[in-house]
Amino acid sequence: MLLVGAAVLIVEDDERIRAALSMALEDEGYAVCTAASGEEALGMVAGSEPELVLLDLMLPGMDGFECCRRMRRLSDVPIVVVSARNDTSDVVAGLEAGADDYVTKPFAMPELTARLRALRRRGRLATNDDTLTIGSLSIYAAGGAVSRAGRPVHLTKTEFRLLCELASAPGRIFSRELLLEKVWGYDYLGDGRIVDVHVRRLRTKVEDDPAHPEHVLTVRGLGYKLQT
Amino acid sequence: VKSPLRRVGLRVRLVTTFAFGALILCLVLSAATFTVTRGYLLSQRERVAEHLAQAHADAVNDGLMTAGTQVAQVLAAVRLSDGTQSLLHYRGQWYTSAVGIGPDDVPGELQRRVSAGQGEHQRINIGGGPVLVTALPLTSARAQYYEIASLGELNSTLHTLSGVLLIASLIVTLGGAAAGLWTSRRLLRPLTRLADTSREIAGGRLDARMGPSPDRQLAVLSSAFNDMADALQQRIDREVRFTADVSHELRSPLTTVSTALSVLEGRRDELSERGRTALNLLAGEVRRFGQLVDDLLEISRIDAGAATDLEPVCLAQIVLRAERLTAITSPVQIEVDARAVNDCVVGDKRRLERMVVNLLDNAGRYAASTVTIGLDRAAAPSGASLRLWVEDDGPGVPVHERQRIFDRFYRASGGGRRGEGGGAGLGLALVQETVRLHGGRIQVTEAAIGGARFVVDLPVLDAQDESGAAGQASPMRARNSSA
Repeated sequence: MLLVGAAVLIVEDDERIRAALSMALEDEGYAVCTAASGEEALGMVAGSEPELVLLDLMLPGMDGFECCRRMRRLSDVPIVVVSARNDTSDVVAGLEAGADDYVTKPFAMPELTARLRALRRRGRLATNDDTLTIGSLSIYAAGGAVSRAGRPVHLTKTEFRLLCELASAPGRIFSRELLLEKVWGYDYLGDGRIVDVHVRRLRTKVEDDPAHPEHVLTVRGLGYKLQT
Repeated sequence: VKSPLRRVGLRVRLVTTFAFGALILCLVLSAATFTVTRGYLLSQRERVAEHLAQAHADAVNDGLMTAGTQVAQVLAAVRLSDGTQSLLHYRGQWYTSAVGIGPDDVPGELQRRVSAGQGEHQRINIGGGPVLVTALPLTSARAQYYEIASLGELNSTLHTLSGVLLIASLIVTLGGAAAGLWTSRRLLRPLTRLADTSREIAGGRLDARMGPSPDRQLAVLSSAFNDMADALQQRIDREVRFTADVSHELRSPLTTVSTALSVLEGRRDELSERGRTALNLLAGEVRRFGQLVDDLLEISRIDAGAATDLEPVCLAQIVLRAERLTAITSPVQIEVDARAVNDCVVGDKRRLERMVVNLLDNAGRYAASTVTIGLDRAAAPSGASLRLWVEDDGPGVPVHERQRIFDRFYRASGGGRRGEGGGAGLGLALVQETVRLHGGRIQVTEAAIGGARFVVDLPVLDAQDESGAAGQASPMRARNSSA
């Protein structure tokens, strides 16, 4: 269900795309604001706290990657990067910079709105009131809080959803496709690299030694699981 | 008309030329050596024979003058060297030092000249062997003295010499042939390297180059070749980059168009009937255009030899979700063999998905009512392979078009339903490139349900070497552990 008036910030230097996208998203019920450059976008994120950001990677001046990194430092706002290429390097670099998801130009509107819906869902907290403790990790799903060895860990919404998903059945192997479906809302085959990058980012926060993870483990060829 | 020599290889020609040259040279030298040696030995021999004959003749002359009638004794008193006989014509009588020779052996001409008081020598053949006849007039005894010296020894020396020369000629000729072979090898070595490098380039390794050559003339060849290869590669790179750039540049306007289109589609109800028809046309074409741009970029990437993200890919997963991947309107039937459910291939998942989508789109374009996609295991000559097939109940592909249908922008002759669904464009070309990239095979046959049947065979990843292959082929693993 769409919350009326959810604010989307579109960062796009192409005026025509900006105009068309604004119209299309407004028709979907979003409140749209736009920025033509990375600098402008950072100011708006700091000022008006949008709920979602749609960020073009090819921007004049400060490029999309840098903009994404800085935005991430300012806020946990879900970021979808828009790339004109779907080369490995571009997509992975965008995700590495802190993006939650990506779409490639030209995208179909239903696909984009599905992405945005899934991202907003992720913001909502679970109703389960329990606190799950795995090793040195405690996950309080309802409160949206995670702590490692007693110290709180700051996760983005996507990272938190990913961890909760894995924690919903500790020890069970989640394929990348399943995680894409559950966390990112892909109802068709998506790009497993999104999962890989997010798992890696999650590890840097919840593992003592991210190179030798003890909690979020890779099951080669199958997917990921949370070690019980 | 080519001479027969031109038709044989350079190597054979060189060997023949060298051998022939060596032979001619040897024969000339041998002949000269033989002639000079023979002349020298003969003249030596003649001088000695003449000298001896003169001494003997003097002795015989003296003997005849003193001893009176005992001619045979006089003749026998002369000590002749081995192989030499003497004849004496004295007062109309012939005397000889040995039986077996007689006046018949001395040519008449020689006899006449000696009778005229002229000393003479001549080489003739007696009893199968060459001899030297020295004829001397005995002036005071009024007799003619002949000495017949055998040249057999000299002859056998010359025989030996000619034999030696002949053998030497043969050896030198063989040596010449060997030298020719060696030279041809040396000459052809850079050509062989050139051929190898050319083959490599033709095989797709555009960066293959010839190594440096120590020889200046050959260095010219290799650097010229390398320059050509560089120019070629630059040109290909430029073209590939251009295609990719075009595709990228088209993406921005395409995004605007498709986004604006979705706004229009959202307001479909506000449009008139005519407006809605136009919108449908527009929507179909924009989708097709987007597909074309994507295909163009993808094919340029394959042309550029872009690296692929290799990982074990479970084809069944793609096939089972096939219907959701494609926008075709015909219902898609899915038939996955239970044995093939867990089979994986090593490949690029995104490209394999794309391949399936393109095959389905193509089938959907021609299908009358149904499209079927299936997956099973097939026995291939080189181990097991996964067989993916897509069938439709459309008009099928005529036999003569089954190869060309994979050409880029190929237009089928019949036209079929292309007018409605849009051209195949690059879809099938891309499918073929993807199959090739994954070491597989694709073919078109006739489907049981009447239309075309596209069969893709991909080498299956064996369960036992899955861990190894996944280990080296999976960039995802590397990404995960290097956080």
